[in-house]
Amino acid sequence: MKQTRIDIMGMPITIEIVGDVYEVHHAIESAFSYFESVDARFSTYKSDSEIMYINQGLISNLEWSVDMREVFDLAFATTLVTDGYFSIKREDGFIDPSGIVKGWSIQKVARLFSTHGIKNFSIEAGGDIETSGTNEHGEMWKIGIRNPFNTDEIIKRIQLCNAGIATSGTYIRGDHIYNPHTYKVSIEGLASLSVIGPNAYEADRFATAAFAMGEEGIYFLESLEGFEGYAIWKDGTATLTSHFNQYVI
Amino acid sequence: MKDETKKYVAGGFVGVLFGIQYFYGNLPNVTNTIVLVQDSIPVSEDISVDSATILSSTTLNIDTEVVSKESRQVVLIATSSETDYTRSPKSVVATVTLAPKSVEHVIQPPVPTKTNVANGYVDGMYVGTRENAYYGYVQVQITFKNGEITNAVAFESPSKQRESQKINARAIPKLQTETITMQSDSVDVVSGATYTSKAFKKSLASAILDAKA
Repeated sequence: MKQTRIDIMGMPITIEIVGDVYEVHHAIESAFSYFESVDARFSTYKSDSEIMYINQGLISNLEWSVDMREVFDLAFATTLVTDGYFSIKREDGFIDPSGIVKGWSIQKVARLFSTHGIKNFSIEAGGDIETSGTNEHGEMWKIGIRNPFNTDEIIKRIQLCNAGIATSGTYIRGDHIYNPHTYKVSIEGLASLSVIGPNAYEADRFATAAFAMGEEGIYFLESLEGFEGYAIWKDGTATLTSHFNQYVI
Repeated sequence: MKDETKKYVAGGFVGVLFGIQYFYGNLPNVTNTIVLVQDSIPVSEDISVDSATILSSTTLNIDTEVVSKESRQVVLIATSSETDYTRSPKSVVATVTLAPKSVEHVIQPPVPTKTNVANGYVDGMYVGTRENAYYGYVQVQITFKNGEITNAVAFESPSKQRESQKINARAIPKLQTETITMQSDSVDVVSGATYTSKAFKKSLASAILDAKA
């Protein structure tokens, strides 16, 4: 059973569980309810969310929810391991954990499914994906990587099982990208960067960080054990980490 | 008659479509959608908005309703009459910032004093708002000439400048590079970025709005 909701967290969320028994309906319902609760807590578009209360100084750190603490801790840990390239704190001091909440919440739902004995499923939120077991044909999950220059197309097909993939990118067609701090050199010609990792959370946070590193990002991923990357450059070429091809179909 | 004790000025305000929050598949071009708030902005900090209208939209047939009214911001939900959500947005959320009396940088209705207008746009260079793209910021600059965009430049700034602290991963052999090629679309699910696209559209929308005659 496959279901898509487009009204949560500002992005389409698709859940597919192989099978169509009552338990599956119930699990998908619970999963979407969970995403709704995450949205209510972490949305920077909702003025009454916990994160907005925190940003307005209406809640002290003693009153943070368990989930909020967990996300802040994970975000801080990620900042450390990415040499500061990942940060939920913006230059103006505003705290926006969106860069980690997506992967984190997908991972939470995946665990929820697993503890209920559901083995074969995929969860996709805004292009970040967690796969478990096999698809409806009993095969590994087939994933397409979207063409950053034409979002109708896919330019790579990979297969995953019990792993996650996330893509960071700019879908800007044929534009000149400059670094505003120098205004002369074309900023790293990176159009999109896909990261395969042990789960959606890991893939998401390292995709975000590696993208911010520009041309360095793919080498950063190469140095990370358990991760593979596919960097697409603005000239239409792509660079792969050494073992990326083992996922390609 | 203006009441000097009121924090907001009553009248019509044009805002920028803030975020294409909900979309799926190939997003139709809605970047130049503009929202007009016909309001009666009253006493104190409470704002009431009478109605909101989408002024222009290239591909969508949209009805709007005001769903929440917060201080200085009005959130709108627009529902497309399209039923195939894989091809068009089902709903769009727009946030319109209303103009307080004394703040200058809030977007105002266009001033019709510029020259060379074509297709409803004034020639010139326009810089969009700086939008958070999570890995950093995106800001779009466009040039209008004879009513058409002749140049678009996206400025990106990483959230942290780390020029002196490069990642030390250089003991790595040269990685394989290939040319990307279109594949058959027989897959279960697709991975792609969405955030930056949204930030880009927000910035672009505000730049286009500035160019409006």
